[in-house]
Amino acid sequence: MSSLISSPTVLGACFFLCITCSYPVHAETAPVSVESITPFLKQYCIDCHGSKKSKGDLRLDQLSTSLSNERTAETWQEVLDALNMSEMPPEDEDQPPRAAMIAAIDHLTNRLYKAGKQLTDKTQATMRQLNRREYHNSIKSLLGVPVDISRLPNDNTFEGFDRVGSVQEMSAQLFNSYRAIGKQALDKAFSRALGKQGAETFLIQAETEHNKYISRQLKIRNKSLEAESRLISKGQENSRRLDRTAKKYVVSALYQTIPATKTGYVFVGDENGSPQEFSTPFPNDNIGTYHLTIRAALTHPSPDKPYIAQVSLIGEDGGSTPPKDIGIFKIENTSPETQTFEFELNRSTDTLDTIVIKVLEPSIKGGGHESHYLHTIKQAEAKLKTALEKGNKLPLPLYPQNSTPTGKTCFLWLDSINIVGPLKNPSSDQAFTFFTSKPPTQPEAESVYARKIIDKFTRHVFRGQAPADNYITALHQIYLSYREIGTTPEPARKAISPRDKKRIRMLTRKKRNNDTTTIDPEFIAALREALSVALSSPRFLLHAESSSDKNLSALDLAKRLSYFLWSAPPDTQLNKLANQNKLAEPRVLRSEVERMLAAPRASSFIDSFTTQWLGLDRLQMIVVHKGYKKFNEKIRTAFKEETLSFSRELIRENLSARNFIDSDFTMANGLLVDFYKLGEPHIDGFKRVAIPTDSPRGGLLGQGAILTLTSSGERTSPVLRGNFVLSRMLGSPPPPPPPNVPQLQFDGSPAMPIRERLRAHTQSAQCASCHQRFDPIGFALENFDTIGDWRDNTSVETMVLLRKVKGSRKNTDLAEINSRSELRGETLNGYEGVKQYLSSKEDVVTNHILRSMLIYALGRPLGFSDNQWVSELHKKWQVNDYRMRDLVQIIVSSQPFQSQ
Amino acid sequence: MNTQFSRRQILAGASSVITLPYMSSLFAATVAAPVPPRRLVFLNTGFGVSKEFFPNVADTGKSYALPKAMEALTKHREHFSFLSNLSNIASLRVNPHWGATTFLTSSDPQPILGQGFHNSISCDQVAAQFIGKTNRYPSIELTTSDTAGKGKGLSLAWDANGESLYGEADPLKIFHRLFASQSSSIDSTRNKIRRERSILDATLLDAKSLSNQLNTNDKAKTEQYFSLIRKIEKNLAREEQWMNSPKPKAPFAAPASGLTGTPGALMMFDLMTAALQSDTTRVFTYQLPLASLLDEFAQETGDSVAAHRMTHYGSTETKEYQALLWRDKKLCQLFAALIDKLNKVIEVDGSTLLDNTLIVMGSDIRTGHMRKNVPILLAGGRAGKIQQGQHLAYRQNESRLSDLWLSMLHFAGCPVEKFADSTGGFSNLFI
Repeated sequence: MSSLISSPTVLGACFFLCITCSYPVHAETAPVSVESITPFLKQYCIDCHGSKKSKGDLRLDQLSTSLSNERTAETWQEVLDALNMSEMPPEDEDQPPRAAMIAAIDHLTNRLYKAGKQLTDKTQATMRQLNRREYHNSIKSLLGVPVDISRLPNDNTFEGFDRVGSVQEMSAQLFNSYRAIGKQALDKAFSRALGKQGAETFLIQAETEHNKYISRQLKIRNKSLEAESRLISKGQENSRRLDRTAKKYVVSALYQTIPATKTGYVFVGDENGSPQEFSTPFPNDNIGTYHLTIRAALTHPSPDKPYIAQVSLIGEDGGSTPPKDIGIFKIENTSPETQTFEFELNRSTDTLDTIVIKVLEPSIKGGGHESHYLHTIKQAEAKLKTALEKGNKLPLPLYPQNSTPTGKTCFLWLDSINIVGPLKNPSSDQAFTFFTSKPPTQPEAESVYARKIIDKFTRHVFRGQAPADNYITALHQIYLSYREIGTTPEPARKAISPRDKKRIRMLTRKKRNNDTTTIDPEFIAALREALSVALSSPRFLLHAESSSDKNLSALDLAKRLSYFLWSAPPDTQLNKLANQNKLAEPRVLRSEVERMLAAPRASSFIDSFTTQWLGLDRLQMIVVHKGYKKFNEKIRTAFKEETLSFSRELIRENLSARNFIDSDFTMANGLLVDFYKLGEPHIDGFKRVAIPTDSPRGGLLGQGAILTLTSSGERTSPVLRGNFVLSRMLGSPPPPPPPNVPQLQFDGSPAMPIRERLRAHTQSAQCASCHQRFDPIGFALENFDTIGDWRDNTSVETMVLLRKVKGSRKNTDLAEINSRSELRGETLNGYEGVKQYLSSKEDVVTNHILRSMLIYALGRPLGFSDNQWVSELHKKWQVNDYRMRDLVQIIVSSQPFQSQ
Repeated sequence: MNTQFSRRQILAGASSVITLPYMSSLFAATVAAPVPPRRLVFLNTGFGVSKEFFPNVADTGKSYALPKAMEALTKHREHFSFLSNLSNIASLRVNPHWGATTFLTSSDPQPILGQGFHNSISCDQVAAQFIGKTNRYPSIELTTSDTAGKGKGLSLAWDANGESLYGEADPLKIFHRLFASQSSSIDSTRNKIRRERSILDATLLDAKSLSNQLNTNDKAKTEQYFSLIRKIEKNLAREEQWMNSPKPKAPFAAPASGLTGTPGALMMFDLMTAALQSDTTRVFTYQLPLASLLDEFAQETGDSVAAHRMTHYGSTETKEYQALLWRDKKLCQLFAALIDKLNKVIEVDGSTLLDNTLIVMGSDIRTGHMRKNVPILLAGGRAGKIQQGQHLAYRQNESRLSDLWLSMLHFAGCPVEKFADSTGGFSNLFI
């Protein structure tokens, strides 16, 4: 390629060439060249920085254009800095035309960025450590108990991926966190081993709390109404407040008249008729797996559709923990024929402490048979107000005694929620067995017994690596110092805090009848102190591979595979195959990969990879303006699930990666079918839904998650959307903005159309050089609004933006969307145009997906020296039509995956 | 060590009585009358500030007009100065979203294109080496749980190896670090230290045996283990050394856990004041909150603004600009609060804690992506003949922040001639 551009005559032409080559699929390993800058230099710089003069001791005519070493690159960086800060050429010298300036800055910026990466080329793998996910799964698998890892700091990432050893860090702070969590894990494991971790059953009768609440509310409202009545008599009435209070009173009083409220909770809707939620605190403090049984029915036959409700677990801590959906259920039966719904729920953190049940359909607002209910409220409200104005005494008989004013109105009735758990983890075939026999009572024998446990446990959690003898001895000494035998003169009993003692008593008390083991709690406590050290030691937390030569040993391959596809240690079958030395046989390996991808645990890989590749976490952080009425937390959750299950579908069904660019289906639940207008909504959760021919959807960029996470929450951001395409799909992220370039000033209305506003980017050469590469892609996606909804004009956005300006609510002219844009000579016509553009670059897109998954799989950055074999894999994948499960197979069977 | 701490003086603080282990080998040996030690406090704002934060560069001297954002400091003008036109020349090219990474190091962490990130020692840590030697804590690093605007690093402080020092974001944890708890006894502390050591020893054995079978590249990982073990060991040694000198009693009740935003910052200031007063430490760095302040702005106005967008406000009509101006005013209110707190504490010689403490507040970013001519407020330090109450304008784009750091080190009595790329310090700061 360098020969192609070595003798350019026209600047424009040469830069066009650079750009078409700037997404290297089969990139060369030669140093990055800035040769094409030469004509620019000759014309504007060499006079002062050449053979005649060499101002600032800088001779650009002698500076190598090959960025082969750091010093050269450094000098070129200084040249770029001078251009960026408009320091050069000096004002009194010949100034280059704008286009040439843009081209020069663009060229140097991108070339230096690339050279920077090439010169830092550190492709050799650095040993990885367990990331948060792997730590959690390892403890769960090796000890058989889940632990709360919400207190561990976020993982360091490389290009978004959390498995890269060279950026992972182990610090004193982290070490202490691992110590604390390790002890918690051991507590749980012991209590499980001693058979004390019984699942508890809690029955929540839905009416209990709410009926108390309604009675309290009525008392309070009654008092408020009395106060209002006094004010009315004095002529100081506040009609808005009165309306509000009266309405709330009427609604609460009406609630009591519904017979079904005596035996359960009735979803009547709030005073405006909007759907209402039922919430109750989660009755058990422990995390783990629970079994949930919901009993519900309709109070009367529903005239139209069945009721659909959703149960989820939320955090009361101000929403900092994302809510967890447990399931959706459909209620058709009429009381007393109660329906029973069962759910399995995995509570991963104790900050999720509230169960919420919400009616999704029908929305009570909006007439139909519900209008009778709203009408009843209105009548009672009028009656109450008249009475108040007349000065009648409260409380009033608002509704006739023993009547049911709501008549046969259909409501959803919740009878009870039954919660059993935490259940024993069924999937831990690797869980450590602490006590195969009762510990001896004689001190010396007990000590020997303890040392055996320590030795066995350490080997177990070190995943097949042998600990050093002196290490086991050291742990044993720790055990002994707590056990008060011999080595420590200090009274070791003191070492166990009163709180620990209490906890241990709790563990060893309440023995079941079938459990005759009696184990001294202080023995357990001393053992815990010793074993917890193993859980923060290098051989547990680091992925050390013990293979002696370049090829991985069978056991190391099993671990690599298992942490890649499951984020967890190998299971019994993998270990067995490794021990028999069969795993590396291509056929065996292939079928193991198929088996692992089919297991539910594979979603740990697919979801993590997809989230990290696409930067999906950002979706959670976008604060969507309330002006976007169609958006709510349900939609946000559904967006994320759509993109994740789309990825799962491609892998599980072995579909082509081209579907990321354009697809004739997406994964949607009823909510999304409705949002995207894909046809008749269904209620079976997420499934494959065909995209109608006249729909603009299909591909990643038609998905709400991607469109929302690349917006500001108030308006679309063509900059972020364009940047997303460059970084996440084409694998060619723009360099960070140059420092010390003054920020752009905007005048005019905040509601100025984004395209006009961003025109400022083209005004300065420093901005234009990069922004011209991605802003136009974003412009072509402008038919999707902030939340990914289709639009023809900016009416909603304009309203949102104007609302923020004081006193300016005037209706401005609607700006029609113009989604045609010019991307460096190519016309992009709306989203279809973007799809075509990306399809024409499908080798670049697929190459980026391949590289991304390789970084995830190998846990190391890919450098220029990897280009050769990566491009071979890419060719191999191309033959397989870029099918996604084949990609996993190709990676696993590659030589770099199977060697150190 | 014991003899040094045998003389104790009781000081009446503003709200409470704190036992102050008065000692300083530097000063006690040379002067007869007790002289309070010099202290340094460094505050960083993360992202840059609005134009209303800067006085007019031409309007210098004592009677300069306070900019709009500084209204809250009107009453305090004699206590602080504004320093215009300072820049970290060495780190101009650093990522323009990193407002704190090189603030106190004045160096380029990626000096040569292609080299990895490597920072150098920060000036607070230079100070800690000299004036923190005899204190329970040579320095204390405070930070915020907000992530925006800071850039790389766990706090403002970087040690001699260029490693970032852990910063504590929870005021409650600092409270427990500073003050005595009722249950701790010397016996239990000794036990705790011994147990911690045995755990470190065991961990070290595993790290060593693992390290022996690794190639050089992988050894980087076990090296991290060795380093963290050394760090914890060093802290244990210090704890052991101070075991017999009880910590001061808490002058106020323990704060709630995880306090952030304005209440969090005010609590950090209370903790700083108490720690400086009791001479528990002489050097503080504190990364001020940012996102949690904007949460307060959102609650007040209903407008939620993300931190990064705030700094790219475009025109002054936008709510981003309103948020930035609001935040800048808040910074000045906080700065005023810290001045008040330090000014209320009377020291052994009748001077105030403020007189003996030099405080700086600023950022490595001016506004937006501009890393030149950054905002710098300097307060206190009268005991060291620091002249306050003026607007000093240095040479635009040229004057070095490292010269301010050097002058601050000189104020504290550190015998250093150079810091980073400094050129001798600023003599015009002193009377």
